[in-house]
Amino acid sequence: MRPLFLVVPIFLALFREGAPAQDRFTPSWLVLPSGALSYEGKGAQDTPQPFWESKTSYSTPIYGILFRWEMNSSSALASEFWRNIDGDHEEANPFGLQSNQTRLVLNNFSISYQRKLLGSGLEALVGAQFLSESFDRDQFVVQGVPVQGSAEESLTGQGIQLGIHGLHNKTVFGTHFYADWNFKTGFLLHTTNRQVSEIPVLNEKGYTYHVQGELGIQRSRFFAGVGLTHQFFRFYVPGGKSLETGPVVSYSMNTTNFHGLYLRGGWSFK
Amino acid sequence: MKGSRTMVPWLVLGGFFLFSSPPTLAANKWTLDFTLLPSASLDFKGEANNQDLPHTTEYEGQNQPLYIFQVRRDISSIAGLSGSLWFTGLPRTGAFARETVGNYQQDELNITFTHLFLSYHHKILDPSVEMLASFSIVREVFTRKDFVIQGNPIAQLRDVNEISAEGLGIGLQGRHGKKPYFRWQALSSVYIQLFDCDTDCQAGETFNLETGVGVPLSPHITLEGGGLWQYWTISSQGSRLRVADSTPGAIISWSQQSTTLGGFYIRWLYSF
Repeated sequence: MRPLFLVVPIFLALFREGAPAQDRFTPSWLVLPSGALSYEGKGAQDTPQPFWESKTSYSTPIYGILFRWEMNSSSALASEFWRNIDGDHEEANPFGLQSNQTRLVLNNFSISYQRKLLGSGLEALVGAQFLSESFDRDQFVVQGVPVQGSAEESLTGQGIQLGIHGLHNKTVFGTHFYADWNFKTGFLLHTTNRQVSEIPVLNEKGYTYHVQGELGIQRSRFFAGVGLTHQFFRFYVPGGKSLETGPVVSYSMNTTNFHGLYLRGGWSFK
Repeated sequence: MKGSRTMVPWLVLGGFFLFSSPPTLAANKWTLDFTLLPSASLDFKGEANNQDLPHTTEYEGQNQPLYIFQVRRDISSIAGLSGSLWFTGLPRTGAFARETVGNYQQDELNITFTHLFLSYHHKILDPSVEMLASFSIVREVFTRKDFVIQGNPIAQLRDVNEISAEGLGIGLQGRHGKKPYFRWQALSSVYIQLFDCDTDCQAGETFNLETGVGVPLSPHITLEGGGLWQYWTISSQGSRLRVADSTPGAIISWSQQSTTLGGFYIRWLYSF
């Protein structure tokens, strides 16, 4: 996962030419056939066992829809939407206190204004990020005893995103290659959750980061590429709630990240 | 060491930001500035797994000065490098305020921090909207004394605990107008922990906002005033107890901490 951070400088070494300035609209679709998704919830709880931790990690398809509108030679508007394919997976406390099935759905939407650095093909970006993450939890087993009940927890976060984006082109033996990468960090100004408790919490904020790199081929208006992405999301919320029957159904610190190899295809038109 | 291996990609990425796209026009302008927040307001919250003891702490907040020294060199008409050192005073000095851990513990807590930002600046818009790419090292020091645990004063117990992390950030800053001018800056940095990576590499984030108004007093000297706000969340190995007489122990660290700091600043800039 961490070698993803090496992708960016390698791209820069290979692709020295800046992106051609074009006024165009570029939609594209992207899929991680087997994205590695993991979630960890932590925090104080309103239960007799007052500090809980829960983890799940599994492989799942994750897809993205990306739009980019180059308004002129130096600026563009871009938006991204990412979502995983949901499914029931086991979530468990590492000390055996609780296990349950959870259906996790993460939605990550961002819209950004991107502006070229003077004398460079790189772009700075500033934007807004809107996140939602839901958990449908059931089939609880608390300290080895099956417990009836289910709960829906839903997290939201809205914030500011800052980042840098590079798009580089090179023609080798008549074939047009491109390299596309970005590094973005986000600050969640406000977060909410549904299963709220009265437990004192750290705050109601959060943060994110996103590192991504891609290599591809462009023919005419169409392009296709392969890349690596790593995205990290942390929500702090007033969680810590448990059902009357005992199971813990929300956490005050929620950390989700996914990474993996993706395929992307799209086209550009004016 | 696992932590060191993890740091390598971050350093590579940081190196890229600093050294890619080398500017061609040397400007050789230096700017030294000193910023003072005479009475910055600092607040703190902590959370950790303390077994049967309370899991969160509340802090009544303290006011203390924040000092920022910055050196910037414009290496071309469009790019510059800067180093910025932030600190809130020396460890074991400054104001203490009450920390309350449920009904279990009270103590007097002083929080100081030190940040070092090394930044590459690149112009986006003329005359002066810039992108910042920063490598930073952040360090927070907690000094606790005057413990009262389960109602019993604990004599002569004093503890100093520190956290540090290293990270990368992206920011934007702009300066508009001349006399006076308006300046703003936003910087978001994400952190890992080089020496604590086995437990929690994803160390946290800082988000800094600054806005101010400045007036050049001479060709070399500028005076600026404004507001600064910083949000900082950081993870660490917490839940540590220190032996305190016959009590279960004094809680002296947390695994999640959130620190905010804000206040009005005055800044002197000297350019040559």
